[in-house]
Amino acid sequence: MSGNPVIVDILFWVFAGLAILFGLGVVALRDIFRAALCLLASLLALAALFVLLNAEFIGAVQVLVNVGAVAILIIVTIMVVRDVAGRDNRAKIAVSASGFAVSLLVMVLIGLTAYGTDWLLALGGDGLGNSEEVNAALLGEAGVLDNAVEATGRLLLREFVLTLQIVGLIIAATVTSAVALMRGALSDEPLEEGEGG
Amino acid sequence: MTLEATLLVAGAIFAIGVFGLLTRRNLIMLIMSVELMFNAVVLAAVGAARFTAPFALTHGMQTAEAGARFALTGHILALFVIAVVAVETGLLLALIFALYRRYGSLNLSDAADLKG
Repeated sequence: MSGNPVIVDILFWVFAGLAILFGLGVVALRDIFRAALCLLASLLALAALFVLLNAEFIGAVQVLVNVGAVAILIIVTIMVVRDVAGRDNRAKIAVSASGFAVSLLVMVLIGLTAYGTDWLLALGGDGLGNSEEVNAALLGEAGVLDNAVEATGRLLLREFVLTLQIVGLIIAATVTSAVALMRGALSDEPLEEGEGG
Repeated sequence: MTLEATLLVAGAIFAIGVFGLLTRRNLIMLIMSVELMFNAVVLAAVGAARFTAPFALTHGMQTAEAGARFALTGHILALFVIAVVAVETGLLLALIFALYRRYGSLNLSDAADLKG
């Protein structure tokens, strides 16, 4: 999103904080339904981050697919299996402590890599900053990210068409497996008269 | 708002997902943790696309299309990840239904038939 850089910066940290806070809620809350609602809020905050990072289309897809479909699917599942879903035995202290240690290690390693790498050097550049001129070419009128949807569509159907087909195949196979699993799960219970298998 | 900050936020969300995956025993909680981790990866991809694009525009990629290709590869990756995660969550929830019918429980420790 092009605009006042200070405001964009503030919004970025606000939404990043919200995403992390609600993410913590997902893993910390005992009530599984509230954890699912936290996940929904965290995904929404991430969608806002995508918009701030000039990926408006990805943000819209995130809201439609992850917030609109996946989170709702999880909530519906929780409602269906509600009687047992709430039961989540408190993890042993040793498990919690080692889990915390591992996740802290992951976080520290990612942070060290992020701040310890000269990204422009890694790309083969020579210390180029985010200059006004570059940002104008990137974000301004008819900049690269200004009409990202059209360019993304072109890329999808040209350079990435094979990947697109493979992902389509994966999705078809996965959905077929899910339907087969559900049919198997449902046919275990005695069918009422007149009900089709 | 820099590439480093974006990667740090993505790393924090990923680490939260790792923590949930390691400590919770409820299957739905595990799915939600994995969902968080995938979204952290998407954030990293989008951030990389946003902050490496200036490089594309100033280093020999003068045509808009070449620059767009460089800059938008991260967006394409994000799209694919979101699509695959969506169906993968559907499959896992179907699996949860099957396990629930079989064991009457969603606790990982109860589904230990395959334990050697």
